[in-house]
Amino acid sequence: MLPSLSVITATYNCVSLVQRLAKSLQSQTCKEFHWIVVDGASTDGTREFLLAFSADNPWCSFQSEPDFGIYDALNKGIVSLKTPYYVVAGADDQFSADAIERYRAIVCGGTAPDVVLARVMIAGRVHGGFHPHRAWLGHQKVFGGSHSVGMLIRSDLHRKIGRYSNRFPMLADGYFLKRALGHSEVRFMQADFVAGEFALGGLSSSGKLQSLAEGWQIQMLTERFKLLQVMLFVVKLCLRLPALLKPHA
Amino acid sequence: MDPTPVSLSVVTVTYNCGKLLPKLIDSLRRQTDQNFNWVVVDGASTDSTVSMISQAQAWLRVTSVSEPDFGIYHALNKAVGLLKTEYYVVVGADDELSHDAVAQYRALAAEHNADLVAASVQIGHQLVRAGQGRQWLRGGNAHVASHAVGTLIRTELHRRFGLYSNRFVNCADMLFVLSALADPRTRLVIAEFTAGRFCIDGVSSVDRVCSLSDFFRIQLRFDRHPLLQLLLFVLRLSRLVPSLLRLRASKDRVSASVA
Repeated sequence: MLPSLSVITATYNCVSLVQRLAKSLQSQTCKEFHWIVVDGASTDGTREFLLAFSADNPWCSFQSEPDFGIYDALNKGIVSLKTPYYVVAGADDQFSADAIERYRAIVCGGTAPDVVLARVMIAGRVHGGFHPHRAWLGHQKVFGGSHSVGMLIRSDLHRKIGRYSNRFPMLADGYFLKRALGHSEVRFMQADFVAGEFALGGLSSSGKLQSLAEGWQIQMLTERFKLLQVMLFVVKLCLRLPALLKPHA
Repeated sequence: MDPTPVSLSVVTVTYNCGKLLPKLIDSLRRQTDQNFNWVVVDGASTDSTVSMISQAQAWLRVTSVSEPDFGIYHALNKAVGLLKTEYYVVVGADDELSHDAVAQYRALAAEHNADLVAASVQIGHQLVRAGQGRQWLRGGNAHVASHAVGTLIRTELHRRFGLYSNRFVNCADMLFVLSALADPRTRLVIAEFTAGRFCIDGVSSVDRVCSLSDFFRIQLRFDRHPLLQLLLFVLRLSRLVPSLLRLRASKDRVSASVA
């Protein structure tokens, strides 16, 4: 029987993290899943490890070539999907031992959600929740969990809504989710288990500004009251000024 | 003694623009100096683009690839990887090159041993000259009139300053030019001739929002007066508001990338 879900991971020069993630996948209570790894031509041994790992473990497939960022890599992973659902996992993330089993129980349980929103651990605290009425404040306020680890997405949804956009190098997941949110036929479903741990990488000051700017552009494209969004953005810029103005290395 | 002649490529990124290509190919065939390569990176077009590029091989020295890419700077980076010449100039499918552009660029690059040659460019109804204004106000436009058509780039600069960044969707070219110019060893030559016409049709409000925020982020990187940059940004933003209010998600190009 074909597994019902895949894990997609984009990697670049992160061999020790990938080894840890591989272990966390190997020790899943349910083995019925694929692992699709899309590598951006790593030079630190990631390629060699994954080549050997995918040769030993037929449930893991691996490709490697230069890419133009994480969403380019994720889109390549989506192209090679053979399962009706997928969940993204960053190389530095980890799954709970029963994450696959819990996700699988939901999609095999008769309901057919487009996006399953699980809870995740971020910096030692459990995050989750779904607040569609907060859409005007930004996608981060709608989705309490994380795209990586915490969301199971129906592969078909990309046919309706498109793949990850190249216009948002940092927040293309947020744009995808906001568009899904604006689509009347897309069904979100909350699940109350903790799917794993999302590694919140620290952002430099230029990264913070980029994320703020992309978040605003996403709001401008998906929200109705543009002027409100311009004002919200300017207020946020001013509030976060001290953090943004640290020297840009 | 005349300086040693330099080699040059014209780089074009295409995607489903078969209607525009005859004009561009014609402007390349009419170059008074035919000593150049045409490097075309196509994003897997489904119209006549690919066949027109291969037909052009009858008249031009063409290097081309056609495969899906993740945006224009991704395609330009692939082009840089294909380059075999010392210099290149980017020319969009809807742009036009003056008949003596290749000749002028090659002569100036050789004469001055330049890293960057910035020429004048016709943009819309305006003739924009290079080397006008201050960087704190105009960013990269203080040095070059336009990256496409108006800037000849020494290929080797990419080894020193990296490829086009994937973090600036609309202004990665400006980041590259300013990074190169931040190094005092980079030799910029301001040229008097007009290299051609840069097309700005089809720039949507979405692009303007993106350019504005890219521009601001790049200015913050190079400028020592962040508060001034913030003020300029908010001023520019307020001028953009009327067009932003007409912005409709359904009409933007972003939705074109459906799987």
